[in-house]
Amino acid sequence: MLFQQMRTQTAEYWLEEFAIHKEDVEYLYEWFVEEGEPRTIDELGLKVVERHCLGEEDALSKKSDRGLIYQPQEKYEVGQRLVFPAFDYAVGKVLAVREGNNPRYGPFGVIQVQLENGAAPREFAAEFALDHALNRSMALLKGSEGFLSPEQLYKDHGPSVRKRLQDALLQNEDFVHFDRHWFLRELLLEVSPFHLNIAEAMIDERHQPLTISQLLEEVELPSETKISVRAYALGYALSQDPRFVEISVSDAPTWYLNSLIPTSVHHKPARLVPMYSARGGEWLNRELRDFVTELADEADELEQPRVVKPGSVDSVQILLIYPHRREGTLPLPTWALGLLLEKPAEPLRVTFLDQQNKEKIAGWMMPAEGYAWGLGEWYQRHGVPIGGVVELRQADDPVTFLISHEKRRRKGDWIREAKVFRGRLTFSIQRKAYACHYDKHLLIDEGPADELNGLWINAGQKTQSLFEYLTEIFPELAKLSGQGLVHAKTLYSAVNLTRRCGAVPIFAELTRRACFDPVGDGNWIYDGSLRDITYNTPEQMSRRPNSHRQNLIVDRVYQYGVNREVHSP
Amino acid sequence: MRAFRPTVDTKFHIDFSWWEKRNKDIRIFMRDLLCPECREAVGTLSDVKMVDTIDPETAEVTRIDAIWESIRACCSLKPGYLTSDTPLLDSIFRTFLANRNEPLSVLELYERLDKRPPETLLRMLTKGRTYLGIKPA
Repeated sequence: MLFQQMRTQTAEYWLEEFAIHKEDVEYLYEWFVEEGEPRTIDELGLKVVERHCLGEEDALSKKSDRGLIYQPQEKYEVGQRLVFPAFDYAVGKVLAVREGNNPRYGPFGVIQVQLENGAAPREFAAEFALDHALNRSMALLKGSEGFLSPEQLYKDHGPSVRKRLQDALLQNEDFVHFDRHWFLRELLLEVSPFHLNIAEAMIDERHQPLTISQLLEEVELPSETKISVRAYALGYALSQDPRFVEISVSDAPTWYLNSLIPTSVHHKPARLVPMYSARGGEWLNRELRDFVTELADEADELEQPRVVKPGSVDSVQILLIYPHRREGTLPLPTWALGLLLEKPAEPLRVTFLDQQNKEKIAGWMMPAEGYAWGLGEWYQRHGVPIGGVVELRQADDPVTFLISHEKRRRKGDWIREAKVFRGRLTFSIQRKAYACHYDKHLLIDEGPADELNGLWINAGQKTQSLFEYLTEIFPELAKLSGQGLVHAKTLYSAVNLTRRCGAVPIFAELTRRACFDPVGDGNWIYDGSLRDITYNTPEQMSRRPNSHRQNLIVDRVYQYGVNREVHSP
Repeated sequence: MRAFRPTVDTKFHIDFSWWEKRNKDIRIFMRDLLCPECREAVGTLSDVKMVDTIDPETAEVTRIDAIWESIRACCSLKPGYLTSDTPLLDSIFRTFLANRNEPLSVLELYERLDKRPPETLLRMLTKGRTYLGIKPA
């Protein structure tokens, strides 16, 4: 039985030697012409693997007639003709045999070989008893146990093949790719501007994303061609036209018009871009750290890939702050992305379903940007205030989400109201009633929107430092309490009336500045006489040695984003 | 005619003729890199013989100095051969000894050593005098 040593049976071949040659590309070209259908990279990759395996089989069957396949473990004699797979199946003749000399290998032989077309003789190991790749890669004849089929080889080495094939096809203008499928440019059906105008009109008229199949009902491409070819040609043409955008959520891509996508979806609203966000390492006392967790502000997420297990949560409850309420957006912190399917599109068109009256609201989610859009009217209609608790729940359909707020008996409460007085933000107490469950510390009635608009400062605009602003706004809030107390969450909510700021930067200032002292239950007090003093060590931030307060709360401090407690009182 | 200007993709290696021209014996440098066991096995410089070495992929046999062969097959695989404290140019020299002096680009050296940025490596290898015979291949 003839044993053959096939390089294509080895991992070394597919990981190191394998390259896409001109002949491979020509082979695929011909295959496309024969099949006439778009193919995935995996289908093309398998064809290339098959070609390489067949090519080697052919080469071996031709060459093995001309000599034995060289293997280091075998013994050879002068005059024998050998085939060297590692040298592109070069044929050589054994000129001499000698003993090898290297104690590390033990006894072995050395054959001197004159390769055809080789200038000088070369030497190779023989009777080599130790492990060697050429011995290891010995493959049995096709069909024998252990012989790997092209399918198995592709399964084992697909990534390496895919990468090289993809690189080669990308550099070749004869091929086009779209939606994970490749095709020959010259086989693409012509999609005219007229066809694209029809597609545009269909989407515009229905005002909803359409699949390629739906579009093909009216975009008439030659009916004698395969449906897959028509669908590919139309999809490819849409992808090249800036009027259209693919907003697929599953295996069936859907197409929409860029012009129908709201500006706030195309571009993150300026109000949502943080002027101050967490960097990691900020010192926070324990209570403030817990508030950060509770508030789950997306501006407090440290830079890392927004990856969560798809479908890992059924519902999320989110506390609404002014910038999101004003923009009609909903924050999507990383953990909330567990509501979504794998690899959601960006933007993702969704439907919010009002749990109360089953009304459907068209909306969008921008998972990578951390917000959803389309709830402005819903907030107004339901009177969801700043601090309101909004619940988002996965519905049966992967792009439909039930939206609700927890209802409460409408009863009057004394609440903070923001006012603009002589160009400054001030607060007063007003009696108001809400039918929505809310966090009482975050709750602020923002008053007339236009007034606050004038005070809004976007990220990047020049303004005073966060600390300076806190020393300005804190006394305004403190006036509302008989004892001059301000809850940390209230301060956070109030700061976000005029600039976007995560909770961590605000709470870090509270922790490290001597002019702020914690007095329990999340409340803080301000002592302007200490505004020039900063605590620099964790111990100082915890014990607050400059404080004049008798009722000072001494609390542990932690570094945000760092998993170790550094100072305990 | 434009002068040859090496880039981060230019391959470098140890140029043995550089050693010969300066009448320097590279084996003295190589001997210092031997682990204690190999140093004892190799003996004095005058005892050193040529041995056969077998290519791990093609099984081609080449004859090399026993000191170098020991470095390649044994000492370079031990933890102390290349450490974070090894000076950069010494690390490059040792890398070439360990890989049969196969030419490597600055980018490839950077990937293996991960010590200094490729541009810095290139500057060190090309500006000023040649160090340990490391030159463009």
